[in-house]
Amino acid sequence: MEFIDYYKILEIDKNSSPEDIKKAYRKLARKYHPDLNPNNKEAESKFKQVNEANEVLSDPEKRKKYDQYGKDWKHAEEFEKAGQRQSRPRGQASSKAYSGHYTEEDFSDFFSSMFGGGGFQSSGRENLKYKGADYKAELHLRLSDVYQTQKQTLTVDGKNIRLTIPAGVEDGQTIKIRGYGGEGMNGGPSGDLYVKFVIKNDTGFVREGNDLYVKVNVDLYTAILGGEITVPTITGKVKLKLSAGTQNDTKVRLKGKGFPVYKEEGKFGDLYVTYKVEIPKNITEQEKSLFEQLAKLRDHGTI
Amino acid sequence: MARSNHISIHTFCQYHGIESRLIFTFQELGLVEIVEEEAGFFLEEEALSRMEQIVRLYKDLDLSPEGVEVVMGLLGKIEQLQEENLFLIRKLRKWEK
Repeated sequence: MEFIDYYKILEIDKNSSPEDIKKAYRKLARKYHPDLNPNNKEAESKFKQVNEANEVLSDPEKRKKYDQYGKDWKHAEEFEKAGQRQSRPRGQASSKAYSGHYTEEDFSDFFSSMFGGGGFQSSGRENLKYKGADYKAELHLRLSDVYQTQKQTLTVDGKNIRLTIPAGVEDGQTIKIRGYGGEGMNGGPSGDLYVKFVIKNDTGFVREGNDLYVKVNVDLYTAILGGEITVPTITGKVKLKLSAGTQNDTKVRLKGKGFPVYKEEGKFGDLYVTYKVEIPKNITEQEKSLFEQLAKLRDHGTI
Repeated sequence: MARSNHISIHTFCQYHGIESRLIFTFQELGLVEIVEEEAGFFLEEEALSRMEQIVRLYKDLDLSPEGVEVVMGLLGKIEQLQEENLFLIRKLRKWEK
């Protein structure tokens, strides 16, 4: 547990007046406020520090105690007596969204050992029921996993949550699970859990909404003469007929061979196949001679 | 009797240490909807997170209700732009492979 220099956090000196402290707090609060810096953990952490510093320095009694014992806190037994608490486990999988009310848990161990668990302001809110904090969590999945509906179990704050993830869920999509956030105060309802899906594409397909895209190489002769080729789909391979004279970058649509439509059972997007005609790079003398003959036929307008 | 998914404005204001007329000011600015019932004035549970955000901006940053309105408007625009940006980044990444 390290000494925390609250003056440094608020970027003020020790002789600052209450008005200076208030001004410094407002300035930094505007800079790091979680509502103005959504999804910015660094700003949130800074805001907590600023909040804690303000909590101490804006209260004359706490400031006096901090100034008196602050830098010698390691030697001040009073602090240790005041803070018999164990360090809290940190770094859980889910993070709490800023609810606007920092609780004991949001303050540093340094703060708790100096001012005790009841050091934070409670503002006479004890008898009111209130909704708990919302939690945010990320669930990492593979694209091939979300082709089918699947069940997963998440553990948040020691509670197991069985989740059914419908096929076709999108990368970045967030679902709300009501009641699985932090516990409410004084018997109030629990907060909600927001689960964001982060989907890694482990397939050779490009996904655009419910449609899939794939590029397939076609050899020169099949493109010119026509024939049959095998193309991949997400559920297996299919054979396609190619007409003679197929051009490079020709796009064909395979209806219903795309990705499942989210929460619409039996509905699928399409698969778009783009043919990439391969020009042979290394050809034999015999092939070269034959191509030259073909070129001559073209040049003389015989064909 | 009030429906269970409604939060009394009186309770909300008491908890946040604000006067209820502030909520009506936010309503006039179009930032929040208030439900009127026989038992009094209420907030929809769905509107609670937004209302709390508004109160936080008002209290933590010492803004006026009009200032909160401007910030909420800009935050909405930022969110929209971030979503568009994310969508475009994802789209670009898919084709860069």
